[in-house]
Amino acid sequence: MRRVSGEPTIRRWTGAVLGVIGLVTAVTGFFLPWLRSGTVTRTSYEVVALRGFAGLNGVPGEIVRGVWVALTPLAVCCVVLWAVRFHRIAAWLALVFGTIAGTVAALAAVQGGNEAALVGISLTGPVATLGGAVLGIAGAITVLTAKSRTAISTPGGAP
Amino acid sequence: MTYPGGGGGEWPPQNNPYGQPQQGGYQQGPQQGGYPQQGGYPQQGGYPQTGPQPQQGFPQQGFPQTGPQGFQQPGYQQEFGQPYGQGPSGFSGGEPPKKKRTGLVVTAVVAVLALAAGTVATVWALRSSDDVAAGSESPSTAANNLLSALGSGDVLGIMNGLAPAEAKLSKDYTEATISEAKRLEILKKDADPNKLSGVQIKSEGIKFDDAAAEKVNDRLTINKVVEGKITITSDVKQIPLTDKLVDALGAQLDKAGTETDTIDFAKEKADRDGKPIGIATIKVGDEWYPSLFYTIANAALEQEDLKWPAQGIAPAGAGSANDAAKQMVEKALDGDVKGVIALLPPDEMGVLQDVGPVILDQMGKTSASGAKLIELETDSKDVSGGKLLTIRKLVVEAEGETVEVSRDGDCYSATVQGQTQRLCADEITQLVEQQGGRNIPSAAIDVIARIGAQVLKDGVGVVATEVDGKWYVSPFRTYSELFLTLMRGLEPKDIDELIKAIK
Repeated sequence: MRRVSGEPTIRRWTGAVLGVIGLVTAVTGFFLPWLRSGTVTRTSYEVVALRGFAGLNGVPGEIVRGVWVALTPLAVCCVVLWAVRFHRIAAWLALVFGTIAGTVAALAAVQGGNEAALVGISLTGPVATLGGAVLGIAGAITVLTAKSRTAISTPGGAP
Repeated sequence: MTYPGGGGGEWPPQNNPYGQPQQGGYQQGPQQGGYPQQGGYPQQGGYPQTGPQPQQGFPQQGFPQTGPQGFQQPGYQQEFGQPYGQGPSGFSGGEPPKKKRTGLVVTAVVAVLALAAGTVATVWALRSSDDVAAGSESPSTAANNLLSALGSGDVLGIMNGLAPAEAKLSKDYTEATISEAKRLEILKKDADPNKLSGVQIKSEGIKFDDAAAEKVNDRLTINKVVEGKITITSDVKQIPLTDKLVDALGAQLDKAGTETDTIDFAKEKADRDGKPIGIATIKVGDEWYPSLFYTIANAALEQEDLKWPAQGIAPAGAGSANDAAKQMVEKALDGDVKGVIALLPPDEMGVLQDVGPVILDQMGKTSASGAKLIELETDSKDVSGGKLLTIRKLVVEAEGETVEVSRDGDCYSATVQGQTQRLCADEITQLVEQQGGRNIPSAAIDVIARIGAQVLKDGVGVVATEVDGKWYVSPFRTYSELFLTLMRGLEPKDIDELIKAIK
C-alpha cells in the first residue's frame, strides 16, 4: 500500500502563506513614508517622481521608475500564482521581487534616522518593505526547498 | 490505450501485468461527486504514479481544475488533503455527496482581490511616480504651493517647485560648494547637501488676493500676499561643522544661539503704504512656477517705484559656445548693454531680459571702450550645466596698440608693445614674496600662491550654456565656477591657519 506524505504540502503552503504576507507587507511599505522633508513625507513612488531633481533624467530615470512601479504587479502575479497553486513559479518571482525591493529598502534604511535634518530618509516605508521582502524571500525558499508531494513510502518494496 | 468514457461506471480491467486489482485511489469505482471521467484514461495497472503525470485524454468535467493541469490526477490525494475523484470508501451508487467548492471559491476570491488591489496600486504608483516638474495650472496655485512648502519646511518641495532653471542652478552649486567645504574640513564628512539642518521655516494663515494679482504679460504674473506669517528659525549649532571649527568658534557659537525672524505679510503691507508683497510666478512650457529671481526683481522695481516694461529684450544666442563668449566680449567692449543682456541664457537670466528696458533706461547711454576684439580662442571643459571656456589666445586692439594674452599649460604670456611677460603657476610664490616683501606671513604667502596657481591651472573664463540649440553666457555659473576655483586652491591647513588667526 502506498502512502502519500503530507509534509511537503504543508511546507509548500506554509511557504506560500509566508510569501504572500511578505509581499503584501512589502508592497504596503512602498506606499508608506520613505522621505521626510520638513513636516512633509513622501512615499517611495513620490520619491521616484523626484528623479529629475536627483539628476536621473531621460532613459535612466524612466528605467528606474519602470522597475520600481513593476514591482507591484510582480507581487500581484506571485500572489495569484500562489492562489492557483503554481508554487514554484510564484516562489521564483517572489525571490526576484524580494531581492530588488529588499536591497533598495535596506540601502534606504541604513541611510535613515537623522531626525534633526531638514530632509532625511523616513524609516517607516523602508523598514516595512525590508521586512516584507525578507518574509517573501523566506517563503519562497521554503517553497523551493519543499520536496515533491509525491515522495511516498512504498511498503512491501517495489512492485 | 484509452477507454471509452464510463462516468459513474466500473472501469474495465486495466492492463495490469501484476494481476492485482487496483485498490484505494486507483480503484476506478463509480465516479462520484461530479467528477465523472470521460474519455480514455491510460492507467497502467496498479502502478503508482509517482511524479507529475500529464493527463492524457481524460478531460475532467464538472470540476474545473484550478491548479496546474497535468499535475493532479483524480483519485490522488490533493493538496490541502482534499481528496477528489474518489468517493468515501465503500460507497457505490446512490446520491452523490455535495460538491465541496470552498477551495475553488477561496482561490477565485483571492485571485480576483489580488488582481483588483494590484491594479489599483499600480495605477496609483504610476501616477505618483510620474516625473513631477512640480508646475501648477495657475499662477496663484504655483505661489500657494511655494508658500505651503515653505510653511511645512519642505525643502525638496521648495527646490522642486521653483522654476526649473533656478532650481537647477541652486542644486548644482549647493552640492559642489558643500563638497568643497567637506574637503576643506569645514563641514563634517557625512554632511549631506540634501540633509540641510539648522533652519526651520513655518508659515501660517497665508492668504493671496487673487483680484490684486498683476498680470505683467502672458508668462509673468505677480501674486499678492496679503495675510499670514512666515517664521524662520535658524540654529547655527545644528550646522554639521567639524569639531575643530566648533572648538575654535566655541563661545561665538554659543552666543549665536537660536535666531528667529518673522515676516508678517499684513504688517508688511501696512508698512509699504498698502502695497502687498508680491510673489512672482512664471510660465515655463504649459505650467506655472514661482520664481525667486523674478520675485527679487519685482521687489527692486517696487522699491524704485518702477513698472515692469511691456516688452523685454529678445534673447539672441550664438551658434557655438566659443561664438557666445566672443560676442559677449565684443558687445561688452562696444558698450552694447542690450546686446550683452540678449546673450544671457533666457532660462536662468530671463528676468534680466524681461526687466532689461528698465535697466537700459536707468543706465542711460553707455559709451564704447574704444577697444576692439581681434581674436579669441578658447579651451572648452564640461562643467555642471554647461561648458567652461578658458582663454587660449586673446588679441585686443586698443588705442592703436595690440595686446595679446595667450595660455600654454599652466603659464600665461602677455605681449604689449612687442614685449612679452610670462607667468607660470609655480612662479606665483616667488612673485608674491617679491611683491609683498617680508611683511606677509609665510602662511598667507602659501595661501595666495596656491590660489593663484589654481587659477592659472584651471584657467580664467566664462561658462556657456545651451538653450534651445543656441549658446549663451551664464554670469551666475561663471561666478560660481570662479568661486569654486578659488576654493579648490585652498587646503585644510589653510582653514587651520584661519582658525588660529580668529583665536
